Amino acid sequence: MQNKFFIAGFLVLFFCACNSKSTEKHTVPEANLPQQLAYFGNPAYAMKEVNGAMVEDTIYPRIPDFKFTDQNNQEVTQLNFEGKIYIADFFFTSCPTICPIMKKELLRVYEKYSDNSSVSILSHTIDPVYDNVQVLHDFAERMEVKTPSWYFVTGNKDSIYGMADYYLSYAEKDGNAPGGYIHSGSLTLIDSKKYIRGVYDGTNSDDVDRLIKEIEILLREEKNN
Amino acid sequence: MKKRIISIGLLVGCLLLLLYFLFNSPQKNQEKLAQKGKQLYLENCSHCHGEKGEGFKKLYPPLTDTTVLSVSNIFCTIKYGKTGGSVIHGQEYLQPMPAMDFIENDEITAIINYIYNEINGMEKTVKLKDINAVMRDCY
Repeated sequence: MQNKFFIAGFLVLFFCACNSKSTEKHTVPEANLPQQLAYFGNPAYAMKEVNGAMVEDTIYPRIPDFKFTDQNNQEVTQLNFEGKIYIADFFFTSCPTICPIMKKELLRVYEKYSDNSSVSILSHTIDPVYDNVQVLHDFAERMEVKTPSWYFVTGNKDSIYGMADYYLSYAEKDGNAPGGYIHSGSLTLIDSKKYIRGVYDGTNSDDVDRLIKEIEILLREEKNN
Repeated sequence: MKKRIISIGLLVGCLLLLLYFLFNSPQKNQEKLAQKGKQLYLENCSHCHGEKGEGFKKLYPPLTDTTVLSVSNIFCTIKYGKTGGSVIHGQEYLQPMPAMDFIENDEITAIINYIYNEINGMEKTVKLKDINAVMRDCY
C-alpha cells in the first residue's frame, strides 16, 4: 500500500517537473509546428447542408468593423487590412511596465516584414486622452517606424476597450497599477478574413519567435487560398 | 557523559559561529547588495532602459551619460519621475519618466549603485545617508 503511494507521489512530481519545464521555455521545434493554424475564440454552432445531409458547422468569431485615427491623423478601418494579415495589440505610451517590452518585441516583427505589404501591425492606445495623434506620431517616429504598415491608433475609449475583447485581449483602467492601467501583453494574429489565428505573449521573446514562424505558415496558407 | 554533551555543544556552537561569519562577511554583504541592485534594476528599470542600460531607440535614454548621473539627479528622477525631456549624449528624449515612488529609498540606493558600478564601471558607492542628504534637492 505504502509502495503505491510512493509510486503515485513520484509520478505526480515527475509530471510537475515536466510541466514547469514546458512553461519556462516556449521554443517550438520546427517539426512540431502546425501545417495550418487553428482558429481562436468561442465558436457558434449551426447546421448546414452538405451533399444533401445536414451536418454541424462550427462558426468562429471574426473581428467586427472599426474606425480609429492613426499617428498620421488618417482614418484607419478594417478596409486598411483588406487582403492582409495583421497583428493587433493594446498599449499606452506612458506605460512603464510591460509595454516597452511588447514594443521591442513587436519592433522585431515590424523589421522583419517592413517590406512585405501583406503584413501589418495595429497598436491601439488604451489611454486615448493622453495619447493623441501628436503623441502617437512622436512615439512612432522615435521608434523609427517609417513605413505605413504599423498603425498606432487612438479614438473613442469605449470602442477601443470593446475591441480588446474581440481580440481576446484585456484592458482596464486601474488607479493602483503603475501608469494607471492594467492590460494584457498579448499579440493577436488576424487573417485576411478577420479570423483570429493565434494569440501570443508579447513580453516573451520565445513566444514572439513562435509568432514569426506562424506568420510564415499563415502567409503560405493565404497564398494557396 | 555530561562532559561529552558540553563539548559537542561547544563544537556545534563554534561551527555555527564560523558559518555565520562566512556568510555575513562584509564582502558577502557587498555581494548581496549588488545582487539586490541588479534584481531591482531588472524588475523596475530594464523594461525601458535595457538590461545593460543601453536605452531603446530615441524613446528611452541610455543610462551611460555620466554627466547627468549625479546621486540627486538619479534619485529624484526615480522617486518623483520626470517630464519636460532631457538631453542624453546630445540626443533629446521627451518620453516622461513615471514616478517610481513605491520603491523604498534603500532599494533606490542599491539601484543607483548598480547603475554606477555595473552599467558604468564606476567605483563610486552610495549609501542611504547620501540619499537622505540629497532628498531636498528634488523640489
